[in-house]
Amino acid sequence: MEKLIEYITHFVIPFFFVISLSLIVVLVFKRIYYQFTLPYKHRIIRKSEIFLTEITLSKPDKNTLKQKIAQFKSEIPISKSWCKEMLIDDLIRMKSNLKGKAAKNILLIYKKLDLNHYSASLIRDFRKHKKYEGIHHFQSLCYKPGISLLKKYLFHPNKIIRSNANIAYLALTKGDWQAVDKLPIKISIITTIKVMDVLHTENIPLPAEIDLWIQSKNPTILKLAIMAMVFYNYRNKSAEIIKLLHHQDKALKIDVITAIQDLFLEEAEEDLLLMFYTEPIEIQLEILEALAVIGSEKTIDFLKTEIPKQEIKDLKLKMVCSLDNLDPETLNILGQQDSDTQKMINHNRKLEL
Amino acid sequence: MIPDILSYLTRGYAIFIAFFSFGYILFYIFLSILSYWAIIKHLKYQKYLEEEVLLRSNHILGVSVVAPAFNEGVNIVYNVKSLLSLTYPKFEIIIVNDGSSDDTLEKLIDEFDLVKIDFYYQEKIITQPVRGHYKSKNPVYSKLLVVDKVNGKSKADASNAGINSSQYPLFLCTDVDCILKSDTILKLAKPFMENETRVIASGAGIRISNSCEIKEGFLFKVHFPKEWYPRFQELEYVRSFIFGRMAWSQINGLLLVSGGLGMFDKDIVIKAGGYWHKSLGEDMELVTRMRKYMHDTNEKFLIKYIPESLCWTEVPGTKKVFLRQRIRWARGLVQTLYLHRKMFLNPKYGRTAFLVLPFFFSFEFLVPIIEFIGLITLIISLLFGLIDFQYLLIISTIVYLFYLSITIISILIDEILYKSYANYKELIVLVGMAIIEPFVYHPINVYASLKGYWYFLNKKEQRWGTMVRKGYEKPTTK
Repeated sequence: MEKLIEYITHFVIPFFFVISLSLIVVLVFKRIYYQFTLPYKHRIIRKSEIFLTEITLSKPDKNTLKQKIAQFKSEIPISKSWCKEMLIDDLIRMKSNLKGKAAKNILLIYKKLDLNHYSASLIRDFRKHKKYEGIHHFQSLCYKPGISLLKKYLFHPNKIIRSNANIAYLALTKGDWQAVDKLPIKISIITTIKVMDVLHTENIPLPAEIDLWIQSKNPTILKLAIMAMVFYNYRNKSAEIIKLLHHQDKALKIDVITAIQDLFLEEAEEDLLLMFYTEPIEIQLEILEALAVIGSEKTIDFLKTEIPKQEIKDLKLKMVCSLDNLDPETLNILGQQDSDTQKMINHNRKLEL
Repeated sequence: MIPDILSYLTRGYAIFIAFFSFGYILFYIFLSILSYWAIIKHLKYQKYLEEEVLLRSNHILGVSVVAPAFNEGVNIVYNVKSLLSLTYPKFEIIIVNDGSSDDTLEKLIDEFDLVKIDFYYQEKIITQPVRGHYKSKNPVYSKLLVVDKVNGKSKADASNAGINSSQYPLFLCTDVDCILKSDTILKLAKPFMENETRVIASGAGIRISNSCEIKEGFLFKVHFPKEWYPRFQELEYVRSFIFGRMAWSQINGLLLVSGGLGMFDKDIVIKAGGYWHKSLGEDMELVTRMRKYMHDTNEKFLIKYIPESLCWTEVPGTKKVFLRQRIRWARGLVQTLYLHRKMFLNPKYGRTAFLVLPFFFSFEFLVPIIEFIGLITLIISLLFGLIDFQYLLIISTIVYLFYLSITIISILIDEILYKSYANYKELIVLVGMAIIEPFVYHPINVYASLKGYWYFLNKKEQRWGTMVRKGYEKPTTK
């Protein structure tokens, strides 16, 4: 016991004491150093912003541009990572707000400042988060010479690197869906959102293989195919889309119902009405939303029968919304017969003032 | 004879404390590693998806912001304007007027041009009667819905009425006086979309607004609190949000998503029964119940935490209000642990049963009791001359230095990541607070906890009390 106390007194306590004291010193001096260097950094940031704005908007000829960039490089600490990152962030921000020749100038400045090499070095870095950053630079600045480097990461074992590389590759190649068949079975909403964003922003043409995708066994590819079909308003494969209503994947089923609604596939009405009774409530709500758009007399008859006897309020409310969309007069009659239905009608009609 | 027994008892207690402290230190070292790992991971994932992409998307999940208001007439208009200024493509603001006896509702009606609407209210979670729903005639305020209800004597009841009235699959629960960063919804909703496993709740850091410059509900400039109690609470918040909760998030063991700022999966909340209106720690109790529900239904789930400060709130500035709040929290803790006692060490509940709840029981609930017994032991030892000063000094110094290291690490992480403070002087003050906290602030906390436990045992009637708001007409610098 005495030995233990001696050990604690001579080693453990001094250890914690030194740790605490060092942490306090590091904390305070780090902040003092930060405050000391902040005005300098702010000066550089201001200088860079002014330079980038001037040079982008003034559209100088090649020689003047070269000269101005050389002069600018000599005035800033371009070898420092923080400076490179700050410049790249500025360029990305400007690129997203500009179009046409001014936007092309951004890419030229990116190359002339050798920042493309910095981005490439990030992609080659062993640290994953550096790779994400580098890929992000290439994609955001539309740096097409970076395609060859990105290709190496299309099948990377890390899912985020793979996802980011594929999205960047898709954006830069304007629609080369290299690794679509390697997509994991389960993907997050985020990946879907990213793909759709690239389709929107890069004006990518309809993928030639889309007819094959819709026959894939992988639900992720099916999901992608459906979303792409909706995006391009591609109705040639409506029969295949409707067939997918009977797929086991619940999330996919919801996407298919939404696609039916967005593509106005009226021929799906019969299938939707038939499957309604066997589906869980989440799917039933989606079906009702789609029927509100594509429904005909059959749907009106179905709703007329269902509304009075429906006991699940969420479903009944959705049915009322759907019928209000398709045939408000019939709904008014139902409302007169049942006060609960009337309350739902009022709710639906007066929610948006 | 008696001195001998006392000697054995004090010696036994001293050995117990040594082991307990050792376990405590080891566990906190484990938590600090996890926390560091979680923060690094969060920062590295930033480039997985740019937030602008999310903002442009049509496939984003809708969010209902639920903010209960009780007698908030002084600030309500500014608060609502602040909430309406949040940036997110698909959201609604639901203000629940919980039977205010002041002019809260009248001010809302006048300022936002509200009219009563026929709202088909479904009481999925039982609440006090709802008197009506109001929407604005002005399209600028189309995202606003005001729910007027009979006072339910709890925030839980008001929140439940807001949840019942919400239209989106996610809801963000906040206090109406909280000031949220403009991208709060986006940051909290992101985990729900980027994970393949179902995320049932997310939370983020809360900071103290007591000395901040606030004008018309908007945060102008962040300042370090100038009063003693808020300063200590600032320290506590940094440590708990940046350090503790990040670590729990990393191992999916979060048991508390703060009532001031938390986003939830509405479906799971309703299935779990919503907030419990009799709870004094309704936020912790709800998360515990949601965890229980997910385990019971064998569904995989995640509760995520973001190491960013997204919300500023006014904390108690006086001892009286502070004690009242902490007593309530202590009662909430013991109430939740007691209510869910069957989950303890029950294999069905996995890590909630074997790690999270035992931690809360041992290192949150028991600590004030152990400290109190320690104090009695110390007095008895002094009276009977049984005290081993060397042993006492050694154990106390280790625990103190360890606590100090952990606190300074938390401040350092916060400083490296966010530079929340204006200058190094504020940091030095914060370090000073950390040095004196165990002697000045901690005993008050222990007292409040013990009082809370005592009230719980005595089943003393719960009372929320009121916290006087300063008003936002002018910047609230002091």
